[in-house]
Amino acid sequence: MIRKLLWLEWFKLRGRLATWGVYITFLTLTIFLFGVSFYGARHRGPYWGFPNAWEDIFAEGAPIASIFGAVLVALTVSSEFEWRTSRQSVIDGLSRKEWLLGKLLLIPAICVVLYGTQIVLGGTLAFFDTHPPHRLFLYPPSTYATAGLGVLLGMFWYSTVALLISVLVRSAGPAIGLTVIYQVFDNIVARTLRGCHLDGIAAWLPFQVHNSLLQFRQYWPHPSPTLEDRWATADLLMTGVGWVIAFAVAARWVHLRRDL
Amino acid sequence: MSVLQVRGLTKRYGEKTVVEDLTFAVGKGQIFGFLGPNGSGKTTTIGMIFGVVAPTQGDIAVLGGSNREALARGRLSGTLEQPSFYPYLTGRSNLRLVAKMKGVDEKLILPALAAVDMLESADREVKAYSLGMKQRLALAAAMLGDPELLLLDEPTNGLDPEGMREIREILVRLSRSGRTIFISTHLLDEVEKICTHVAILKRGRLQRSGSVAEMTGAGVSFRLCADDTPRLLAAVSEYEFARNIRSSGDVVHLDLTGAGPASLNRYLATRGIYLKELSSQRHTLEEAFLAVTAPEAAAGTRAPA
Repeated sequence: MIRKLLWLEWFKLRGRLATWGVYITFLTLTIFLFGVSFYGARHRGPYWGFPNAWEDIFAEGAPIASIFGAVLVALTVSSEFEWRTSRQSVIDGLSRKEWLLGKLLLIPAICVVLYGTQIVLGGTLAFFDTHPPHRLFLYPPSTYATAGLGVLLGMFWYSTVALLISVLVRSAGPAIGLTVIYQVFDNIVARTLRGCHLDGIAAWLPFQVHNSLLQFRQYWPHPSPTLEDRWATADLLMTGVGWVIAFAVAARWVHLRRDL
Repeated sequence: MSVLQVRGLTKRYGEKTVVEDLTFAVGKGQIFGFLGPNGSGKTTTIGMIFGVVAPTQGDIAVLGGSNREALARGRLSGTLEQPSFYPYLTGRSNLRLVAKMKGVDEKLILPALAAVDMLESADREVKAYSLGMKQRLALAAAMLGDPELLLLDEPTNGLDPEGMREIREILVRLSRSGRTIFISTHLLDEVEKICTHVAILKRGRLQRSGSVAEMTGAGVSFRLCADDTPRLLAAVSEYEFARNIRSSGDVVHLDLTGAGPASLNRYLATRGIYLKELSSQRHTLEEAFLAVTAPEAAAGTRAPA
């Protein structure tokens, strides 16, 4: 069943011009982002090769990847309500749960492709700028693996927000708009809480957890004095997983209770 | 044996009742016409049968089990409202998706496209299709997997007369091969040509159901003409056996129950009205429909005094 659902989602995604439009825009921004560091290092900037470049590669483009992942999910899911294909899919034999599972499976697939693009692109540029005797890694490889997983988890969460909003509003434009606006709302609430000296609560808000997940310094083997919210890695990952599950369950609850 | 059994089906949106206590059954091999004016609850009912609209109360049994089972096993298929496809994909690609969802061999796509005369347009994007082409593609998609029960919501909407005839022929052919077809439509002429049974819905309630022969053969309508139409109309309005009196121009139509045309003629003669014309005609499905859905659908007709 999972193979079938992934095939269906991939078939729908790959044939759509809007998908490639979003991906090419993302690719262009990523090229600019890493290209500036690469160009700067060649001409006048600081050294941008391994092992220093890993932090930039892992985290600098992550917010862009997260937003583009959420936009793709919102576009894909809400369009199915506009075209009524979500309803027709149920008539054609998929259950509502299977339809939603297909969309949930799409989230990691999209996030891995976008984040993978950044790693490959940034890694390739950094490789050309790496000069001996520099080492490949500054930290143990497990630090990079954890950071990569953490960033992906943050991206999953934001795409799950897009999924929830899409099954609620069922229209592509408003769904994308609300997904982007959500982070403004979350930031305002966090700032208000911090103003009331409730920093501990503010740090747990979903988008604040997302931001922490996307910062490489959260995964340093030693503490970073410049971090606003310093999390223990295990706590941060667990909280991230918790928010992904909470939003996915909310999306499921909404989708199964509404008429198509 | 009923392939579709609906019992006490009700749908409410807040205070508004869209479908109320609907009960009917569709037998194997029937072409069942589901009729009703706009807003009578036809699409909501079909949505409930497909399981995409949750009933407030009532039961639906499809092929002896639940609608979910029938859909999952490909025994029930069809369309709801307008044909729904991915507009950026070609007709053939859309059918590939449907085949995958139904778990049907992709080799069946070609014959399905051929059956609805869509082979030439199969590799064009659906967004370039006319409504009629989408209807044909929707029928091809519904036929994939050879379902036992087909539910089609307005399947001839947007088709030209030739297209309507072709769809009609396909539906009749499917019915002859043992399939059961349930169609909702406004086109009463279509229904009368192909349906074996009908149900008429008004404001969410079932008004009449039965075979088309029962609906149309239950009574005979009479057409009357005289020199003084207003006098004729006044006289028949007082005739105790006259029902469903309508006038259009110089002609008066009525049904007779408990008396024959000779009695009516004698009655009118005693009142000094001599008929120029007295002819009979069988009821059409349209008349049966208008009789139960009046007044909103029967604008222009005149109720008996």
